[in-house]
Amino acid sequence: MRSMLRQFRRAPGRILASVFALALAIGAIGVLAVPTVSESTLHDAVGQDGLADIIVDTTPLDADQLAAVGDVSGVAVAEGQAIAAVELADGFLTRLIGLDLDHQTMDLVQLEAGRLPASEDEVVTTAALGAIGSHVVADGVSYEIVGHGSTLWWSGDDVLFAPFDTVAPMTGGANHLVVTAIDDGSASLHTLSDDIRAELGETGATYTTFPQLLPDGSTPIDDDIEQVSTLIGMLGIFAGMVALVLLAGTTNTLITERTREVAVMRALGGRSRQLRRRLRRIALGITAVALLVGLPLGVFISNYVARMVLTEFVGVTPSFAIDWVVVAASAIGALLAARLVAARAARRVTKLSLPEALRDRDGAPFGGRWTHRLLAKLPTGGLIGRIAVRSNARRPARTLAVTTQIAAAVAAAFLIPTLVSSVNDFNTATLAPWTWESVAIARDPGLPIEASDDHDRLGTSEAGIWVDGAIDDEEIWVYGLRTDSTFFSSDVREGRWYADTGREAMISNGFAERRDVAVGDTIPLELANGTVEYEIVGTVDDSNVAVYVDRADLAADLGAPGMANVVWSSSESPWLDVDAAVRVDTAADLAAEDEAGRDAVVLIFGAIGAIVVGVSALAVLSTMTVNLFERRHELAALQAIGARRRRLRGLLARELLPVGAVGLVAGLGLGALGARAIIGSFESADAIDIGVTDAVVAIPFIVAGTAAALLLLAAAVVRTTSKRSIAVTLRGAA
Amino acid sequence: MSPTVRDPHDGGMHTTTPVLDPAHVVPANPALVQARDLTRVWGKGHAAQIGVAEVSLDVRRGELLAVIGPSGSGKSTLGSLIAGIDVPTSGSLVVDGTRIDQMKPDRLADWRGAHVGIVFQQFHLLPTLTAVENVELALELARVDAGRRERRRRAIEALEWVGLAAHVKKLPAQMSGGEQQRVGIARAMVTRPPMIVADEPTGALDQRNGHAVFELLAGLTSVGTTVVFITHDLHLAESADRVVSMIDGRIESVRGGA
Ligand SMILES: Nc1ncnc2c1ncn2[C@@H]1O[C@H](COP(=O)(O)OP(=O)(O)OP(=O)(O)O)[C@@H](O)[C@H]1O
Ligand SMILES: [Mg+2]
Repeated sequence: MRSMLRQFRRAPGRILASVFALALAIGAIGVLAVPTVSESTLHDAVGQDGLADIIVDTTPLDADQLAAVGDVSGVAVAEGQAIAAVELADGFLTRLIGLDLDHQTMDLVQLEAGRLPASEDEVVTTAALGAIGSHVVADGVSYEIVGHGSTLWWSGDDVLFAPFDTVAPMTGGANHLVVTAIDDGSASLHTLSDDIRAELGETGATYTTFPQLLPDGSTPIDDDIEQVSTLIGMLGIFAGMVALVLLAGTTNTLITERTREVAVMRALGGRSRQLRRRLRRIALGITAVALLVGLPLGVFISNYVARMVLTEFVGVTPSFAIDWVVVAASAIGALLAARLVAARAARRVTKLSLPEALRDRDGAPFGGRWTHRLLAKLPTGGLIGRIAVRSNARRPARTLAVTTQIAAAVAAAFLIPTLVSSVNDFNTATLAPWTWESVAIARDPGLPIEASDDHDRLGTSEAGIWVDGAIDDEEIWVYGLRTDSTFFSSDVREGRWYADTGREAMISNGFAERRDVAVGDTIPLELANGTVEYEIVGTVDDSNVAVYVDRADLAADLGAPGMANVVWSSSESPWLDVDAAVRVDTAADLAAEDEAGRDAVVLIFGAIGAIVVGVSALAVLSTMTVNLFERRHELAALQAIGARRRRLRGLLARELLPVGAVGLVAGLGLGALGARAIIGSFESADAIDIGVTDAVVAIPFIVAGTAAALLLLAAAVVRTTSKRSIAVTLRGAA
Repeated sequence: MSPTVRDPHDGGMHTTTPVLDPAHVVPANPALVQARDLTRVWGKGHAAQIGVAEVSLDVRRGELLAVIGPSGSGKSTLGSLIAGIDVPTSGSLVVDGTRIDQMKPDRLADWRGAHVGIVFQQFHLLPTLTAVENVELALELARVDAGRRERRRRAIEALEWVGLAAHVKKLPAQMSGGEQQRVGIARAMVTRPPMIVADEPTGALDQRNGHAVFELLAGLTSVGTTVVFITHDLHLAESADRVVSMIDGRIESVRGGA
């Protein structure tokens, strides 16, 4: 500890910079803890809430049908909820959710304030829809808000919770079935879900969406969280690597700059073993101090990022959590790495021949290696330029470290805009084939196709079907369109448009390529109420995972011949002659939603990117400070023989800019690869084809930014070095 | 090996260009350096460390002035001030007709490049440059009006003069202390400055090498260069034109000269 303090007094700025950069790097490893922190929050919420294992939206069920589901073997509890689409006084379309508040075991409302509704004219909702004690009008009926709260399932949405009896008359019964299974393993849930589907089919109920399965206590957004977490984890590993390079560099310098001091002690009879132990202790001490600051910082960063992820994607505010494994691992890792590097450097320092060590100031004599001698024989460029090149070659490890650090910062700076432009392009591309301005989504059991076509008095409209399906367990959107649809117009890449004779389908090109499906193949299309076969007659470039079929065929397949569930319209505010529509989404709404999703991605990765850029910048700064400290005599000598400060700046710029250029190229490559890895993981997780659009526009800015930062750095260090009197610097012992 | 001392004017080139420009040849005041009440202290109050205190001294053109005194007496401080690598706390310092005590850092750098050559006890060669490159660098920084080839030629000539013809392409790490110091001298004199300040240039060398270095510096006075030579070696000091003896940051005595 005493030697640490002495150390600190000797070069406070340098030690502080190293400790801080190291701490920040160790802190950045904290993002590795984000998945654990997020998941622990979610699972707490699941526990409190009683989330179901199987969730099914159906046509209204009566008590007998519900009881029948309850009797299916493997079902622990089956509960019915009634969910009605309602319009608030201000035109906001939302849902009124009827729960059997006295008996329910699943989807328990978590109150933030107030109490649960006790009578049919009371509701619980979010603060956004009104204060407790005020009234909210839904479909013309006034309800008193008696509490604020939500369930995990509905978190993030502004919906109304009411007693079951309030809503059941509107829906005609329970239309949202929640089930807990005796065995919630993935395989058994699949079997159980099929059994329930069969049972419901027998009792005459139909539904157009698949049951949702949540095995092993998972939550509906577990997949999303896990995916985002994986990506964050990748960045965490990246940050960890930067931290390691930094740690190694700092430790190495700390020891190497003691070469002469150690040589003197050896000359005085100091034993190498003892000296090595002393050197190692110095390195470990500094790492320990960095850990002291870095670990709490890491805990903070992980909680901060987890909070961002969860509030953005789930609407849940997480509680504070610590991933002890990550904390312990980064502490042990940092100490081990420091010890390893320190041991190596200490061995080198204590093994150097005494005369050489005593003569040299900084332990890196120039001329010892063949590269040095080769460079000394190459009199190319100006003298200042030669000093620059040779100084970089004199300390290859350090030069490499600075290059890596710059590359890391550039990679992060390039990756973020590339993600943004890729997601933007993807959003644009997915909406591109669709020419409607709004889509009205109908309530089950849907609306008659005949009655819905061309009913918009403000423009043209077209009824269609939009449900989810699956091909070999891969989820796919299923669109039922008119064969002469005017709202979907994508280029047919191969084959032809489907006809309304026999079951013909067009399929997304990306999906076809991935699943090796060709024109002429017959595919089994799994719908909510069974599997049907379609022949692929064409593939389309729609940046989607979708299959397009004739709407009449699809209606029949879904067990509701002649019915549709969406109406596409050319008007933003369609005036439909059907009252079954529950929600109207405009194209603008969807674009805004896409944008919000993109912003969330940008926010999270931007924050992590900023951390990486910050850590790298600090690392470069710290490395450069050490470098210039070592070379202070050289710089002072240059000044003594008449070099202006501009010359020194020029020298440093010439040292840094080539390193920056290499780092820049490597960083851009790394960023492009990173973006591909991230997008690729999104693609394989969601089975979509996003594609990468490199943010070429950002490159000039990154180049200019890097150059500016390096020149500024050069200017700043020259300013500091030239503050001291040259004579004082030159006389100071090494 | 001791270098042969020759007149640095030996090379034909040197005779064609005057060592000092005409303005300096006919000065108003014969003294090159005029220091008046020169004081350099570090810190304030009780903790103040005195380097030199109210030193007044004239250094004449073309003389070899030795500065002696016990350790800590302020020799290096005085040398640094005269060489323009340190700035006095108070007092005035005129060198070659220019007041340098209040110059801005960049102008002072230019001034040093053109008017003074400095030889250090620790050599302070640039470790990544070869001997000849180190010498060339001084020419480049002093903005000597000569092409790259010419600068190299002059640098090699200077190295030949200090007896290092065979070592021009060596790096400092590949040379002995005495050789490095001779490169230092070549670097200091190659720009032909009116004054050379050498702070214990022989301190790190053995007697033979030390003597050779001293002879080189002394030889420069023959072409009109003023040499301020700081040393602990009283024997060497005896050979100087004048000897300034310092104690506790003040001048105790000045011997020699008229
Ligand atoms: N940077 C500094 N800060 C504080 N005091 C200083 C500094 N530099 C020199 N001194 C003090 O100034 C005084 C004169 O120092 P200087 O180096 O000029 O002596 P010197 O005569 O050259 O000694 P030596 O023969 O040992 O080289 C000394 O007391 C020294 O401690
Ligand atoms: Mg001294």
